[in-house]
Amino acid sequence: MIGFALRRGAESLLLLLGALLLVFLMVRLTGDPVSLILPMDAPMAQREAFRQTMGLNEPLYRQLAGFIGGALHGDLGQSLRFRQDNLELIWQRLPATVELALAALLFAVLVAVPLGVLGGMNPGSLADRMARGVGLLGQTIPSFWLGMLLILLFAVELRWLPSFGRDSLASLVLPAIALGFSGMGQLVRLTRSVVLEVRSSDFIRTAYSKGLRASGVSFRHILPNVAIPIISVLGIQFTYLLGGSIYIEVVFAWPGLGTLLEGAIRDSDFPLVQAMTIFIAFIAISIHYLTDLCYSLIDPRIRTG
Amino acid sequence: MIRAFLTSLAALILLATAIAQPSGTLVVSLASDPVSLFLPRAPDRTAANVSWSLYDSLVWIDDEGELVPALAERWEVSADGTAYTFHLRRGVVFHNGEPFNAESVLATWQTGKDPSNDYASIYAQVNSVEILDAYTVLLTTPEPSAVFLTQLAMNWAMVPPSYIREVGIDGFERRPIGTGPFRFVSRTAGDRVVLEANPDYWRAGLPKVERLIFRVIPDASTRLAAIRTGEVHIANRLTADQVAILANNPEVEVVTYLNDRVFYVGFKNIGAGVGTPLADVRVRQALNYATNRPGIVQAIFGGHANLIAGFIVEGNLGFDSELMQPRPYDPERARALLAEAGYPDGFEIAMGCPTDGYVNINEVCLAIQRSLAQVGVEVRLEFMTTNRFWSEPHYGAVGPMYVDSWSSAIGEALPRLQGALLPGNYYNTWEDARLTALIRQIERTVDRDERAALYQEMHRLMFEEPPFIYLYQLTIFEAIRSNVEGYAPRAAEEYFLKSVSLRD
Repeated sequence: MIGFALRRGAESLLLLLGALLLVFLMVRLTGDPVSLILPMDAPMAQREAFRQTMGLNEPLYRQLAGFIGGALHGDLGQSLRFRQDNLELIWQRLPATVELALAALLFAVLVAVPLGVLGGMNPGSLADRMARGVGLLGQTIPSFWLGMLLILLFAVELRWLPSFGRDSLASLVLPAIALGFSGMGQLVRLTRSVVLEVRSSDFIRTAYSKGLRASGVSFRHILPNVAIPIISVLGIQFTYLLGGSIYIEVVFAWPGLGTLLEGAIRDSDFPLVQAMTIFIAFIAISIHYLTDLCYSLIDPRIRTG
Repeated sequence: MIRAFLTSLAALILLATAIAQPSGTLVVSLASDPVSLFLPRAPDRTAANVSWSLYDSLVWIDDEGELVPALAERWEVSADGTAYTFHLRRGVVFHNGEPFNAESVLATWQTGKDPSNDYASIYAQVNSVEILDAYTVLLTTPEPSAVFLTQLAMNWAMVPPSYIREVGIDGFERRPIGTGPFRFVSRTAGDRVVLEANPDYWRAGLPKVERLIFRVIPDASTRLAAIRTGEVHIANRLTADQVAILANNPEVEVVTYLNDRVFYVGFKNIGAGVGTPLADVRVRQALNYATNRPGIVQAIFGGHANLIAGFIVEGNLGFDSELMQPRPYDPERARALLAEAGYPDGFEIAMGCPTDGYVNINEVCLAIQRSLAQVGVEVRLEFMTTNRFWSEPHYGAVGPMYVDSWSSAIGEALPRLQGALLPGNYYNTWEDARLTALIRQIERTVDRDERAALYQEMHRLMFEEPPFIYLYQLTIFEAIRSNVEGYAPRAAEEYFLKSVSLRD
């Protein structure tokens, strides 16, 4: 067990370092941000001074070493534009993104699980067709387009909900739906297929033949077995929601990590882009690592595989 | 007698409070999160527009373009034009209670020219600030500068000395203090900036709204939605198509104006431009004739752009619409000129383009390529990210021609003339001693009428022997709710909100 944990831990660390290197190189090889930050009529002397202050004149390997060294101490550098600690900026915006991601997940679960269970328990029924239809829509509708559509309908036309921003609980509704929609589609299909599979498995037939009523079978036997794969998918979806909320946050002017990243990319604030990518990569890798550990505790086959 | 006096006093007080009471909350959308509320570090228009609600300068440019007193009641300029004595307004107080006086001007200069600031060079143009007495201060510049007072008006936001020394620039950015019409209340990163009316503002009757809230809305279609629902009162950076949707909406008013930003194709006679056909003035004139600029305006911008004849455009000092007529689109003339110059079959040349750097710029570059192909000039387009495009001095990353733009916030073309044509400047790619001499002369000419004449001479030279292909200026589209009054944005997209009010 310890061996497995260490091995997977080492792999995760390598993965993180690889991500770091990739982001570092990609962001620097696209050009020089000084011209984008300083006004057009800034004299040469000022540009040079700015480069000095920001450490942009150091050779690449020195900048990389500095960045990795700093990261290991929890220092992810300073934003070129905000002149603030990157980690501080990220912490400031993180709660808003977590809030949105959780709300999107909640929406996905509240819609997908009942629909998927109904569909799976009654294959061929209307519920089942709806479940499959919703699953397809979730895969095909682009989230930002859905977001804009929701704004037009529920905010501009009907005036039921705010069109942007993070003010009240009502502000959470539309972005959560737009963000959670594709995850919801995925979850419906998963739930439905797992329910179908479990339903036709041996131990369920045994339960029925023992004379248990259908509701008893559902709650005590089917659902718990459906829960495990769903929960593992939710963990992974949450990671994607954290990192992938950029479009929705921009459309809804949601003040989270997504809008921070959009501004940083637009203005070539590469220390911030770097820091955010590493942060998100770190979270994603950590969640996968923890999930693997949990599984290995539950299922011994995974440890040795 | 006393009763009459007291009654009139009461009436006056009632009247005064009735008039001067600011009311309502004005909500303004922003296209990006303002990076700093400390003006020397405000890197873009968005940050500057938000910041200006908090501060005043010594002088001010009013809506008619006139230089008027602000925190300085009057001033004298020395005979040689290098020394400015400002007599400061008394009784002005910063938002934290600190008094405004000559110390503030000194502190503003010292913190402004800190080399870590984006706009340090503006403050560095003043080489000394001397306190003559509590309300008199002397600023000197190394050479006379025609636009010194305008630069002062647009950039020198007065800051409180004790406070800024105590908290430093970083602390100041977290809680900015000025003498301006609004005071800082709070700021939520990436979300909003909340300001409230300054009850002790030195200009009576201003501001007119009680609270001013800036909301960050990066997506243009969301800004459009927000102005339609009334969640914001002023929405900027909209497109012509979006504004068309608002045409019949009685709750919204569309605001349009020409942006003081010239779009052009630059030529190089240094670096990659050496040894190219661009050296011949006939070739450069031909390229101007050959580019289908009217076509670009119509097809790409739906007519919402103005053709320009040079770097001095409508609204700039010295602009003369009769004198400054753009060259017509004339491919025949272009071919004739090219033949005369020895290129009857045209030639090949590279042109750099900043991908998505501006609205529709990719299409503009393609259109230029197509129209030049008609006269035999084969343009090899070099599309690149804005990063790379601007990453090297003198546009080193691109070929002998490139597409770019330049704005000016002072109502005159000088900043772009200096930036683009003075040798040694970062973006300079064309060196011509006559143009350099003229620019230097304009810099030193304090008299506006004389300067206007010089701009016209500059235009003539730059038209006859063009260092650029002059393309267009764009129309800016904004929208405001119908109950907003007093909103008067200026050509470089600046707005000042102290006179804006909300009708019920």
